[in-house]
Amino acid sequence: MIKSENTKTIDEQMLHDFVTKYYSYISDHKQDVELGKTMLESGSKTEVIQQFETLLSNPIKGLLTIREQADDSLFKSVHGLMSMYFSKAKEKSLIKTAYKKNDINSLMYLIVLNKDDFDSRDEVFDFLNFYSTLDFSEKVPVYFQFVPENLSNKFSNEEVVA
Amino acid sequence: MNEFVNHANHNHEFHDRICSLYSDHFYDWKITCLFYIAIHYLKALADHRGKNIGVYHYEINRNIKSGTHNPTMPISNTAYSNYMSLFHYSQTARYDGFNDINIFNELMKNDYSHALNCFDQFKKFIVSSGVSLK
Repeated sequence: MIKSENTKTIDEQMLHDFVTKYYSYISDHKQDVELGKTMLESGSKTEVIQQFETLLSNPIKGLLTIREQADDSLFKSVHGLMSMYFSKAKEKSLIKTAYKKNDINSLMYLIVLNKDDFDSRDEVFDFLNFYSTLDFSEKVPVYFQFVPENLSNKFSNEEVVA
Repeated sequence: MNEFVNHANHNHEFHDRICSLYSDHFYDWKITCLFYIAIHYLKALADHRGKNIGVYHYEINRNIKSGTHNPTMPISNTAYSNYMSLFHYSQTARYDGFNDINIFNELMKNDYSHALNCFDQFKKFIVSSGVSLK
């Protein structure tokens, strides 16, 4: 495996995927605000408008709420990025299955490789290395745990992501 | 002897002792040891080269990766991958979300095999970079 070329390809592709995911989130938020604006004109307050109202009437509480929502959206965006990566890795037969462990503080993924050898593990870690260079990787810790195929049935209750 | 090499050797001795005493147990601690030997090797290399790679893992990881964010001590891609694999393995070795200790041990045993390979290669890189480990 040619590490430098491989890593560069992952960096560019995954950055593109993440931007796509984040753009999707922002577009959804914009739609929520537009709907709220329309509903407000007819006398109703949607959840987004109620949040704006809180921000204006109690700025500190409002800012904390916005901060929590930003953290939550970042968490979801990172999970989206990881899910996309695992789907692609499955398409190219690098992985067999990936599960997300139920953990509210971090993102832990359990990965069953198609061929559990050093090269396959290195290739999956290349992506986690890329993630580790992003500014928000400290804020949203991501862990990869490889799982031998004979143990995969022990994790069948976890959420399947690919 | 460089203080970082001294610390690395101390950790290495601990690793070797638990391997001798418990050949098929405590893989999580063996992995953790390997990483904490490697990070001291890395600090010894930085000291050898007169570079500041930072204190926190996030700083260190960025400062050794060649790329466009002005790393203070970029190392080869292979050495970087080996070091980062040890970093990732040490994180999952310290993850406390697994309730079944037998399954956890089995996972760690598999991880240790790759971690040891990464460690051996990383150690060779350190020695070939001019750091004396004696």
